[in-house]
Amino acid sequence: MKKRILVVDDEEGLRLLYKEEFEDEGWDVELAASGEESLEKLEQEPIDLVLLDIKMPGMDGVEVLRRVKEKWKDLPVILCTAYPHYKHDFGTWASDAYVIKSSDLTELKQTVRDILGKKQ
Amino acid sequence: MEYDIIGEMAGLAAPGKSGVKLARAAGLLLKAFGFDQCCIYVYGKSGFALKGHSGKGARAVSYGPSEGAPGLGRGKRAALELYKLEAGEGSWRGVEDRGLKGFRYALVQPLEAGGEFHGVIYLKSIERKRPGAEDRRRLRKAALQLTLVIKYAEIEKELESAKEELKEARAALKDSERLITLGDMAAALAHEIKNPLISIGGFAARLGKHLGPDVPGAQYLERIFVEVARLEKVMDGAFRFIKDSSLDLKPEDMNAIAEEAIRPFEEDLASGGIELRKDLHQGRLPVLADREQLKIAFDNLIANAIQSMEKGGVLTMTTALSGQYVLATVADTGAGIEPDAIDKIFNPFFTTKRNGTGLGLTITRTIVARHKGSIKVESRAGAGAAFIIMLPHAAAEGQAQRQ
Repeated sequence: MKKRILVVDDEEGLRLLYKEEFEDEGWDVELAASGEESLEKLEQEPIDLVLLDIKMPGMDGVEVLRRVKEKWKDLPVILCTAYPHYKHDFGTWASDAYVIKSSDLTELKQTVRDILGKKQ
Repeated sequence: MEYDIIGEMAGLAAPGKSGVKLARAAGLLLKAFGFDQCCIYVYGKSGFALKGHSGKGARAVSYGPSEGAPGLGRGKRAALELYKLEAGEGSWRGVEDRGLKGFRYALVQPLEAGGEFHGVIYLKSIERKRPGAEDRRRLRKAALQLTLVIKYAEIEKELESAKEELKEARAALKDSERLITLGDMAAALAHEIKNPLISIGGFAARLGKHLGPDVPGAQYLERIFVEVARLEKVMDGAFRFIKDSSLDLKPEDMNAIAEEAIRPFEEDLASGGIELRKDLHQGRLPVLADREQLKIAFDNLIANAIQSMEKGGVLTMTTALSGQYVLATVADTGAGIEPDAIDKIFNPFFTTKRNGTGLGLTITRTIVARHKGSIKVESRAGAGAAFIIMLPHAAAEGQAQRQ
């Protein structure tokens, strides 16, 4: 069965881009436009990995990360953000990987493969 | 009546240039004790430096720490007398001192107070003329006065350099404020620009993949992808700049910071008819903070509060302990914030003021967030506004880290 990624990002263009690129990679992709929506999706569907933006209106990525790790502590989360300096923030340490957003998705795709590959 | 050397010396312990004072002191001593030359040497790291002189043939001879008669006088509590023997030129009881040429008698009076050695009074006379016991007692007193003059000058010098340092520190602080402003602008711009850029570059790459390398115009897509990557690099450089204006976190007291932050505004408050009320938590409120940055965060809140009370009012500064958090509130009785504006006030470039930059509250929130704290606002239009800064209690955080 295909592994399923949940992409959480408030930017519509990026959700679409990630969906298409990761489907090309052979993954199933679910989308959430906000932190709140991502938590709802996680309750409803089996998810193997969360790709999480940090800076979102409403519940931000750091808070989502905290709640995810509380409830599903083995679910891998990749923090994905435009801001390199969040890397020094204690709140982000619980994530499994930290990728700085770029139009070149090579690093992000590799990180996803590394994590989901390991779980098989 | 006896010449009042003690009174004259005491008169020198007033603010003024120490070089002028020591030259004057040398003149006074010469006059008071009837010598032919008087030199005042101040002792420092590299030895004795001539700081004041009066009388015949006084040249700027300096001595190493153990050189000449001043070197001999160092470490002695009492005055040192030197005679030139009548016979045998050049013999000063074995003391080598080129400053003694042409003299027959010399007296070195140490300048010492509280066990600290500051230098010597070096008196020389052509005749072998030894001062009497009363004169020597007066000289000791005068030396004590002079020591105080020198000490005073040292303190004054330290004060000057401290003032200079303060000036530099103020200039550096101004620079760091500018860094924050630029950093926050970069952050705001980057957020608005980088995400669409990634879409543009990412989809250009996808389109290239779909169409293949051989279709006409494939090189244009490649060009889009490359240029977008270049812009992204520029944005990442801007982010690095933000990261570099990092915090210097130290254990601080929120009460002290709040007090310090309000102080520069006291005049503005008074002239604006605004009453200042302080309701500070009793006892220390330990937080891990960059004092200067946190003061900037308060600055923006206080300045906003004052501007909102054009017709006067009450500004209340409150600090409190709430669970594991330290709270600081700046509240005003001004115009308040319109309901449709309240969600936007922290956004960069959002302002309701004619000359506002729209960055003050953004900077405040950024600084607070960098302290792992949060800020919230409570306001009703026409009923004032209260901004509440919430920082982790430092002791509580220490406990959490140990667990």
